[in-house]
Amino acid sequence: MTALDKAGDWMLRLQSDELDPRELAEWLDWYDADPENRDAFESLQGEYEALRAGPMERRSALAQRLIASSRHPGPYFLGTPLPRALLLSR
Amino acid sequence: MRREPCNDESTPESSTERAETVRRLFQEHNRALVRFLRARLHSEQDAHEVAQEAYVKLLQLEKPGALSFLRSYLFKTASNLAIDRMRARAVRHHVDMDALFEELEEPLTPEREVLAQQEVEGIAARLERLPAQCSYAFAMHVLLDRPVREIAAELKLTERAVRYYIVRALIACRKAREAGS
Repeated sequence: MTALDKAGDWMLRLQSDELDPRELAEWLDWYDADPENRDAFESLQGEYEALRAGPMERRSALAQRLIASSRHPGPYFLGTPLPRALLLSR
Repeated sequence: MRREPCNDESTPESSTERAETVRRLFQEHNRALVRFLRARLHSEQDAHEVAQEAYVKLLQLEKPGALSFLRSYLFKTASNLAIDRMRARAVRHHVDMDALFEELEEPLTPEREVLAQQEVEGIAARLERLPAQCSYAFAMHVLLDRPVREIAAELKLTERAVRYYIVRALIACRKAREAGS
């Protein structure tokens, strides 16, 4: 996993209402451990916020297009193999 | 959890010492605190305001504990304040729905419409090259605010797998933006 992968995973985990203090401390250790981690986190957070900025009609139009083009994968759609660990862990 | 810190190490007594402790916390952790709050609130301004409120609460503590404990307390307090703010925002959002619908009913200017359409085309073109799960999870979570937990349940995947797909899409968007700039 690259720093960007980890940064993105942490960013989404921090949004969870179920984030526990141990996880938060783990994130802080990761974030403070290396400037590369901080840069990766802040870069991806900036991307996330930029994509959500702007008029609501743009977000809605983009979402509709992406959902239509993905043809709603549904519960049995497994066209892309996932790393095995991701299938088993939370 | 709104537990008060306990004295497990050296205990700052005076208001001067307390202010110094908070100053150190600010210096060492404010950047992370604001990033944490931005992840929760999706708003830089709200994140800074909530962080300030959290520091004020820290300064008002009658029995502040050790620095290491106060870091946890600071983040927990900020997290609770963020939850309060999100609830208030949800109430406001409900009240403002009529105004929102009125705004949406107003036609876009031609320039705005063209720009919005170009941006949608550009991002969509990048994301449509990704596996379907990536663009689907991205659209549902990033654009439509659907929680990761719900997407995972719908797709019968782990939450970690859904996060993996969303992150892949975010990284693709970032790389494309870098390539284009």
